[in-house]
Amino acid sequence: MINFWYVLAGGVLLAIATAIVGVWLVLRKEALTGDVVAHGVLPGVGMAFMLYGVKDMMILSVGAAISGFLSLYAMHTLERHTKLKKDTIMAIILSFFFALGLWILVKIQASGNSGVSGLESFLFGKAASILPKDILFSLISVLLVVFINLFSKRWLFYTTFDTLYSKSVGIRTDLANHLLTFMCILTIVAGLQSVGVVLMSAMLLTPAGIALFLSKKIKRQNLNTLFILSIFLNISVVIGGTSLSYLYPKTPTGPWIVVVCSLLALGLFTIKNKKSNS
Amino acid sequence: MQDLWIIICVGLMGISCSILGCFLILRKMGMLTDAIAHSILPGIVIAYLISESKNNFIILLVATIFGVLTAFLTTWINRRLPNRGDTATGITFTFLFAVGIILVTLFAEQADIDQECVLFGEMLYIPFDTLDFFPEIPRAFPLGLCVFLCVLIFIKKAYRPLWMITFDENYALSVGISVSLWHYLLVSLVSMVTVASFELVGSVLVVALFVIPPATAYLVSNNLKKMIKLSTVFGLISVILGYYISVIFGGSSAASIVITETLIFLCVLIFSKLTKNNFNYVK
Repeated sequence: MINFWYVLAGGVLLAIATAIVGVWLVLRKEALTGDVVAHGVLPGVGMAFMLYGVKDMMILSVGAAISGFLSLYAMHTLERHTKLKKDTIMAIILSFFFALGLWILVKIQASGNSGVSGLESFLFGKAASILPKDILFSLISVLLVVFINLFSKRWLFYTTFDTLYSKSVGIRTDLANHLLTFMCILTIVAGLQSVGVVLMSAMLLTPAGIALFLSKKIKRQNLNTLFILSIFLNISVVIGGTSLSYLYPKTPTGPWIVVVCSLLALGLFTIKNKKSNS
Repeated sequence: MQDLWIIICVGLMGISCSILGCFLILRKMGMLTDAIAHSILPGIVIAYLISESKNNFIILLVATIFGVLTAFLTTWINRRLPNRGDTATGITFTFLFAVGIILVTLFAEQADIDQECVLFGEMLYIPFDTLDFFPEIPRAFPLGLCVFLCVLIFIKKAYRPLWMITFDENYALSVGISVSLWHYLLVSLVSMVTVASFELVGSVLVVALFVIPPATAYLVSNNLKKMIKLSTVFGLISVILGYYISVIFGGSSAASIVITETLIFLCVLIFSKLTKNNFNYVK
């Protein structure tokens, strides 16, 4: 039972961070960037394991963060230097990094190193394997995200909605973008173990999407409402999903959280639709 | 002989993907392809459970339904969240993919399918999984040929309407071409090709087959026909090269095909930068 509380604590911490970053991503119409980073961390995880040969979360996370950053950098470079559309570039980067990660993972598996078995849990997440020291790691990253968010909220707000104005009053838009990138990578790396790379973007997007929708319905469209709604939704969804995954011990945790969250989203979208029609 | 069969089967898929991909990337549907590739997963599992064997027809049908469902759900959510198309895509495909993963893990014993097979695919098994009445021919070959012919006939017959909805939706509407009908036809064809190739290359890397060769061709072509031809060539070359690279260096064959495609993309990109030809605007 004690393990259940660990998992829950880790999940709730993660929920706070993803909710905050998700709201920014949705507002900036960069929703799928999270997906690109989440796939982009995979080669870093593989490489870190290859170099050090141990499954230590700290080392793997550093590798993950580096390759996540590289994937974003590659995306922006291609955007600047080609006439390809943004979603094409995203699909290219995403599948290339995933392929690279897969190639490395298969290589590692072929080398017969013991302890490799757990690496697959990065794909779908295995919350049951969370240890107290992993929770400490997520706690640090969540505190960092909340801290950065509190201090740079105005900057991010102006750069999101009016780049020209914020440039003219002397806000460093590039710095604000870097901060958001940093927050995004930090959150995704922290969530690797419990949600996994493939479904990370759901934790970012779906609560933020619902929050955006609801805030419009209750006519309170401001940033704080969005944050509160999204954090609240995300925490309750994580609690629901984690409990469900304990009923079916064979299944990974990440998908359950996502299913609960999406069903909530779909339900809310339909109900509101009927009301607004009448 | 085994190598040859693998290359023929994967090559057929590669060509089908490259042809369709040209329309996809021009219609800004690159990430929708990614979404479809993820969200046909529950369809595949359900089809395996219904048919209790690898009945290709049922799998194609159910997965196509799920592909269309994805496109439909995305449009529907997009109407609830105006101007947030990418968020709508993200919500839809993660939902269906998560459902698929849960189904796979719950029914792994009943259905002849597992997580890794779905995600990564395994093309090396192609020559061993043969037809019942022609033991020399692998099962993937008639499926691949069928899908390839479908794509070819569709593109030949529907070139004009596809061309119109790709470049000028308003004009297409004004001459009485239903944009949404052709859009959903394209989507269902994409899901058919995806489901036919997921066993060989896996559900995530199919996206690369769809997007990277057309993107490479886009860099160096100035009309659609040329782009389709070049994209087919790039797709085929990278399948052959990638497969032999994986034979020599080991590692996953699907992954090395994608890595080869990206390397070709980068080479072409550098080439087009060096020659300073703005192929897209110069007639």
